[in-house]
Amino acid sequence: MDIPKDKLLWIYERMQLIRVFETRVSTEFGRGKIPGFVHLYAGEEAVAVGICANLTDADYMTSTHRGHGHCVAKGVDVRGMMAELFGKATGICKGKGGSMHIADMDKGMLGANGIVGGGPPLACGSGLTAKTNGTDQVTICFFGDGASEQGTLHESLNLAAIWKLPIIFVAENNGYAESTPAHYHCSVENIADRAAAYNMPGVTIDGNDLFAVYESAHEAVARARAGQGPSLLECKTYRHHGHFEGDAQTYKIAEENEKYRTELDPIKRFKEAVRPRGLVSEDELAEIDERVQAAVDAAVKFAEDSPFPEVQETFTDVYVSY
Amino acid sequence: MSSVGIIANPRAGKDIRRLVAHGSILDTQEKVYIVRRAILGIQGAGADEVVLFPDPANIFTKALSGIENELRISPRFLEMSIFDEASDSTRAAQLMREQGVACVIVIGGDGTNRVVTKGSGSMPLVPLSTGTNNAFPQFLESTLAGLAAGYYAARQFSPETCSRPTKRLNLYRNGTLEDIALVDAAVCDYQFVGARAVWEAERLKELFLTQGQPTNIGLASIGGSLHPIRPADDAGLYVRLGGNTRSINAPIAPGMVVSVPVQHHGLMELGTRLPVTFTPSIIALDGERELVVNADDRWEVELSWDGPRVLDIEKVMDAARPATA
Amino acid sequence: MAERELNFGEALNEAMRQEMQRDPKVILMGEDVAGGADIDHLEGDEAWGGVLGVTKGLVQEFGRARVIDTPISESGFIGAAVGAAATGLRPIAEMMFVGFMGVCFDQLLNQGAKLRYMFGGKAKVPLVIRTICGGGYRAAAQHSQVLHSLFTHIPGLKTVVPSTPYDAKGLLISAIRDDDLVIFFEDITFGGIKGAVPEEDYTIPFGKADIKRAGDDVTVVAIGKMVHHSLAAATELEKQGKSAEVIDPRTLSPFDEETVLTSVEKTGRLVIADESHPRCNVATDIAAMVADKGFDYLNAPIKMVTAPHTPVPFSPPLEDHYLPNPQKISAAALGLF
Repeated sequence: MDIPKDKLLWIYERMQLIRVFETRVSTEFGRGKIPGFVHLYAGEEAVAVGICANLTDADYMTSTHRGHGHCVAKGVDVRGMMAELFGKATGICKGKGGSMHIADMDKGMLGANGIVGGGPPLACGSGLTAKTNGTDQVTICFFGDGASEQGTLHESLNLAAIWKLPIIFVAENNGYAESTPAHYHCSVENIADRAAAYNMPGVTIDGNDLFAVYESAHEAVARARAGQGPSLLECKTYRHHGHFEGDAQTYKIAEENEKYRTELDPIKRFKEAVRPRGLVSEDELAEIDERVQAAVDAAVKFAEDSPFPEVQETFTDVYVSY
Repeated sequence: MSSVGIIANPRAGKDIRRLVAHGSILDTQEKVYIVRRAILGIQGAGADEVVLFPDPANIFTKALSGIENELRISPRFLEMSIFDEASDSTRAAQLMREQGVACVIVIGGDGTNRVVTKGSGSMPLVPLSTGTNNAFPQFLESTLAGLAAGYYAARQFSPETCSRPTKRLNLYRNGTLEDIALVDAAVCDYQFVGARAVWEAERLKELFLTQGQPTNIGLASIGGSLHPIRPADDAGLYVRLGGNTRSINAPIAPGMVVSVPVQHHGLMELGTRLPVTFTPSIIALDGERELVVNADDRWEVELSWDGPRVLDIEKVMDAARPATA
Repeated sequence: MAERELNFGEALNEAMRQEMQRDPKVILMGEDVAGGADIDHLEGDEAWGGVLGVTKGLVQEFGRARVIDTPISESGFIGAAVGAAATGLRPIAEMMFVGFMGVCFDQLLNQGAKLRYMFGGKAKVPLVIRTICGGGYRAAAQHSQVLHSLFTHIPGLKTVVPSTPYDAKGLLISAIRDDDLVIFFEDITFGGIKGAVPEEDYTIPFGKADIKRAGDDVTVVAIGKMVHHSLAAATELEKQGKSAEVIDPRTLSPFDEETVLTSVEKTGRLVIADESHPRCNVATDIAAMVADKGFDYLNAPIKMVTAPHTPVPFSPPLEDHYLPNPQKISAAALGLF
């Protein structure tokens, strides 16, 4: 599988944009600028970007409470995202959704989701729409290891299989459902093993290896577009931050945490893979780093400068009965 | 104290060939059953101890927890740290050898045996096939593998009579031994290691084989279709792929029978280093993309009889049979 | 020429048929809505067409790509209906009994009802969920509930409770054309109700109550099956010299406050009949609204006739005791004089 240079650069930019965005969100949250809960995606960049590098804006995606990375990978504007996190009127959802409900229908991004396991049934819906309309749009259904124990996921795997829906179920197994380890909460070692029970291919991937994710997603997406039905990709990964910002992460193992932040870091591994082959130059990577930093700085400034919504906005976008 | 070791690869049977070919998902639970039967086989042969690999998927813990009531043999887990990577299996094999384990049952494919071999030294292997493309291990019910391994350990059969040597490929980078393969080394036109497996015939540029039989699946099947080389033969095979003059039909992955263009093939002699000519490239070892070949590196491949010794099941079972009056 | 009469289920069937003919984006999904998927020996209209046969014949006309049998996976298929609606289809999902909503509540409460709002208006969920409700069928506690109050409470959902075949057809067509998630309640005892139904398609606007019987002395607001009980009670009250006005709100969210207030202004007395449990229901809600906005019109306390705060019992004498009936309604009304 070869990846053209412009795509490699896009991939690096998106991974770096997620990392810098999330790191900045952590800072801004610490400064009290971001209300509510935030769940950060840093450390898992290769999954979202490796998958989304195979999509177009017309393809759909359902997401999770840890959804910022999915949004960035799907091309959602980071200014609108940051403003949304700040609760501002210029937010992508007018400040009415917040971190856990960022959505962008124009990008096929059907929403982060505050309910663990909330997304898979919705993914069956967008899959059904594509199938009914006879388009080649695919739906990516991201879910975590925690959601793999929700009945909704199992119902959805079955629905997608019997209706042969164009869905790629992507298990982001980061080892912990909140503070509970997967080896306790999950009856099987590999979530993808369960694919066999639903008559679909299941693949377990090193989710911190962009190229492994990209290649597997490429094949699964091609399969779905060709009408051959759903598949289940399990990406083993790790989150650099806690379940939420403020989580002391006492349940993590120090050596494991360190190893994933250094040796196994997906961005570092990407650079190590492209450098020796001369596929991308240092200058090109540095230029992207600068651009990403500027984009995130601009997003924060935009969010800070934007007004909060008028209180009347409470009453729009819903039928108000009383 | 007679000991048999077992190493199982928790990652075998889960790669991209479930998507691009028609590989079965070998779920961890199936490996648990295989291990259980192997342990009971070893116990049935009268060995004292079974030494287990503390794998990250807890295959062995789960296997033991289902046979508590019938277990008489002593199970012992190796004391080692686990990093959930291939080198775990290498270190496990090394520890087993150092601790005097008689032989080790390896549950996995060609790739698993390759990493075990790096640590097993003279300790014979009992390779059981569970991986997706396998030429090195054999399909054998694990009870039987356990029984044979147990007899070999308990009755102290001679390695010379009850096991056989195997070949291997030695890969040199700029003159230094860098890695090995038990069955095949494939030079491929890929940018990255990526999803590891190799299933696109058009990506194959050069192939080095220790064996290639008409009954093999995977890259060794190319040898099987061109010029069969048996595990006992004093030769290997070199194949240069591509071109449009000649092609052969080969099952290079489960359910994938493809036309493979072949430019040239020839025997590999023992001890002769052949250069890798297609660079930059990725070299797949025993079916998995592994080595990144840069344009300015000089890579060579050599065939030798330095592969692991493999237990000869039939000879062990023959030796174990009571002499008739 | 006499007006054509249809029973309740036939009116619903015709509404769905006409909307599916009009708009290819309308699909139907649910357990056994076609019936017998993958069973080759079925011929003609042998397939179920829903557990009560309400969707019978639609699969023959529209095919299995648009009339989709689902597995018994309520979270899965209701969520899929929400997702399909958010991405451009206009599904009608059938939830066999309203009690089963418990199985898929997240997909309604946290997904379907909230997407439009959470996404700042950039998504809409044009989905109708049809569901059987109500007691009187000896179906016991899990299959006899009304629960419209529960859904009326939730912003983002609209709730529709028709009481006649005419209303059923017009309201269902409106529901299908509405861009919000509508829960459409069909009382299990309405199978035998017949009434005049125009052949052409027509809509009945949401939030527009219907005065089923005009009267001067007491206003009876009645929901679903209670409309028929209230009409029977009104006949009894007439004999006692009291003229009752029976109002059917038809939709609970939106709710037509004006028609109720205007009536109470005229009669000065209000009885509300609701098969819900007695607390936090639509009856208490209407009572609160009238106490707030029509206090000066009232000449007597507001009376509510509801089911008790118990699950629906199975045994016939118990269920009969549980359910509101014309006698309870007329007694409540007479108590106001």
